[in-house]
Amino acid sequence: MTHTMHRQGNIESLKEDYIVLIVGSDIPFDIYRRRLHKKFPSIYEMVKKVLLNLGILELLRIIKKTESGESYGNRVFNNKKELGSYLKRLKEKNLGKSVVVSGLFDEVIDCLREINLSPHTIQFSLGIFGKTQLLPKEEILEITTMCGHHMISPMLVEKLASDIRNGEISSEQAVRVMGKQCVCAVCNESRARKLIESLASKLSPVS
Amino acid sequence: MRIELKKCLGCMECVPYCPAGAIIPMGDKFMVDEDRCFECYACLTSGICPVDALKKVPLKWPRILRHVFSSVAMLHKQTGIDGRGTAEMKTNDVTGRYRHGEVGFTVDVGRPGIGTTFEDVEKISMAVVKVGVEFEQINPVTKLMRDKATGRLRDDIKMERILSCVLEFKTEDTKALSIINALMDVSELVNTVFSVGCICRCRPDGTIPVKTMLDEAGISYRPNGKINIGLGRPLAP
Repeated sequence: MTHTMHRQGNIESLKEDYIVLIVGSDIPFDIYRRRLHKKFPSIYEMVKKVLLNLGILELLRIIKKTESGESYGNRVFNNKKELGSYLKRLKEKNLGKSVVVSGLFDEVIDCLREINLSPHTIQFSLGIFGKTQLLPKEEILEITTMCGHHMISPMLVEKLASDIRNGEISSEQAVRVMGKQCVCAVCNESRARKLIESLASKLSPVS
Repeated sequence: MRIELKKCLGCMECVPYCPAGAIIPMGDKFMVDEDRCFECYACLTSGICPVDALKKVPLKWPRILRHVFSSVAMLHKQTGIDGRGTAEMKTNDVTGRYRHGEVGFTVDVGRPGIGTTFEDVEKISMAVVKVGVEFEQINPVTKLMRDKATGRLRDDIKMERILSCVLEFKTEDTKALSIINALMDVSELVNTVFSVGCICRCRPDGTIPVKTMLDEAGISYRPNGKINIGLGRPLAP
């Protein structure tokens, strides 16, 4: 899946947005989930239903995301320095698994150069083709494209921005709502907060 | 998805969560427009309904494809991964899927966020196949093709609406520009959007053949994308 590709935004904003995926992840939750699905698909569906109803999938997502600095999992970074340091540790750890970085090419290649690595394979985004008049405005796309599966709807972003503008919720609360929809946890929360604050500031308050 | 009318309070809380805009008013309550619904369960995942009125309904073929291609929590039987395509270039250092002299393409049909029918997916697969491509065998859309030589999909699925799917294929580097031209041409014929990714193996001297090709042809690309940094252990030399 190409879910960390095609993120919209200008270069300044994208300088705060890097995602590292370790593919073939050995996180036990993923392994057990795949095994269960393969051997007992009906039980898997039942367990998933129960977990969803109990809200535990959200908890597991948070656990995956907040594992300590010494664990090696998929991560989102908002600066090049932390990205570089994480890549250095991954290289030293020599996990033998594929590591993929999404972000600005120039910045990522700089990080690789510092640890004597170079790109093995590159994927360029040639942009959006077709009926682009159907798309929401750019400020909304910058937020919604951070969930590559597009589980954060444009209408939700507009509503949350409006709620912020009217003082009903904080931008942190808005980001938590959006983050819950992005089950893969690749939505960059600090960038999302800045973008939705900017969007909210352009709206007129509703009396 | 369905909304139990007896329970629905008409509070509208669920409406903005739907990526399809399929939750519509019916009197003072709300219902799901079944034609527009992607069966992605984003409304359910949100947990927003205060009275638990959102309900899954059993999905039969071909409607089940809506859920398979739109829900993130769904594992594809073919790939064993949760997503709409394969690991594509993400594991190229291990699998060698894209080799020197080849260019890979990912065409995310319906993305970002508009959705698509398989009818439009077929228009694109039929357009690129004329140039000469090799579709990724384990990709879920490839599995739905009735004829890989023409790019035709099964007839019984064409009107199903999904949030997005990924056409994955590769070709010789000499044909890459023709593929891009074919995609530009077919973009006039579809009733949706699609996002195009272009993949290549970098050379040992650090040069990136696709970048040179795109620059020389004056084809623009975004400053951000995806890099496999080559830490995987190859399955074969």
